[in-house]
Amino acid sequence: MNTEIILKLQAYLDEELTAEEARQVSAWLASDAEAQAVCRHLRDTKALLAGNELPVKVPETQEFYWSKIQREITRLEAASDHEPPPVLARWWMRLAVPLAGVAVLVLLLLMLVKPLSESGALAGSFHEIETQIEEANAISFHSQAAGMTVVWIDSGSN
Amino acid sequence: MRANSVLTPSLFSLVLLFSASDVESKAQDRKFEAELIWGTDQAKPDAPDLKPVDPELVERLQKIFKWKHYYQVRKKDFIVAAKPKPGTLVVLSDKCEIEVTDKGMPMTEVKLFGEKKLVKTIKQAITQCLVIAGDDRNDTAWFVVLTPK
Repeated sequence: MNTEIILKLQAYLDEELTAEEARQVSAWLASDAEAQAVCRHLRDTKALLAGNELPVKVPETQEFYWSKIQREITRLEAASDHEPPPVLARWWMRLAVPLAGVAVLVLLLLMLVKPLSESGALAGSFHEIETQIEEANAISFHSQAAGMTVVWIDSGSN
Repeated sequence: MRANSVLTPSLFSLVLLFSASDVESKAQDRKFEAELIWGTDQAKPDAPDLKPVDPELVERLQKIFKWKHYYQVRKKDFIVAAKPKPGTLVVLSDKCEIEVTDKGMPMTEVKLFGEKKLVKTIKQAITQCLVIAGDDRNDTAWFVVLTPK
């Protein structure tokens, strides 16, 4: 006899089956000697346990016992309400830390890029030419072919 | 695990920042070569001080300027101290001097002096070659070629 059938018999004895199922099991029990034996054994075990189970005595009254449990639940709930969340669990901290990282990266990039832009990443880009002699006109240009930047000072000698 | 994933970008950024500061602090002195050149269409004058210019440089000058012949008046190698130290004065002839100052690699300030008077101040990123030039009498020209070494 398999476990499923035994469980079915157990449910029958515990009156947990529907009326239809109970009728089927009852009819089956009437014709199956093995099932009857199992059923008897289960009934005996149930009766044995029901008659000999030791009662557990709570040292306090039932009300006091449950009130202790209630107080403990209330205390734990209150403690969890007042306990500050972990540092990294705070929403602003979760947001602030990566943002600080990004800000540092941007600052770093600006530091690296600024000197390049000041110096003119493109060769030949002039940034400042001051002429002290009024009559000296200056032309500046970059020749890629010659690979040189030229500042031509026209003094009008010719 | 979560703490690590959040803190890692910040730590990485700090490492990069310190690395950049380290690079900044290691700015080095810069080496240059300055050459005063005279350009003319006439054959080489009888002047022993004039020397031939490197043919490769002549070829590059001829791509831009009209003169056929280029002669070296003087060439000097010099070192420019890293910013913020003062610049280096280079005397190329009795009439021509330049003062080169580092303004943070590769930015450079070049002051051109003619007969001890400041003619021009140029602030320029010198990565290849800077030529300061001007016309002279008898349809000739002078060239100050500044090359980073």
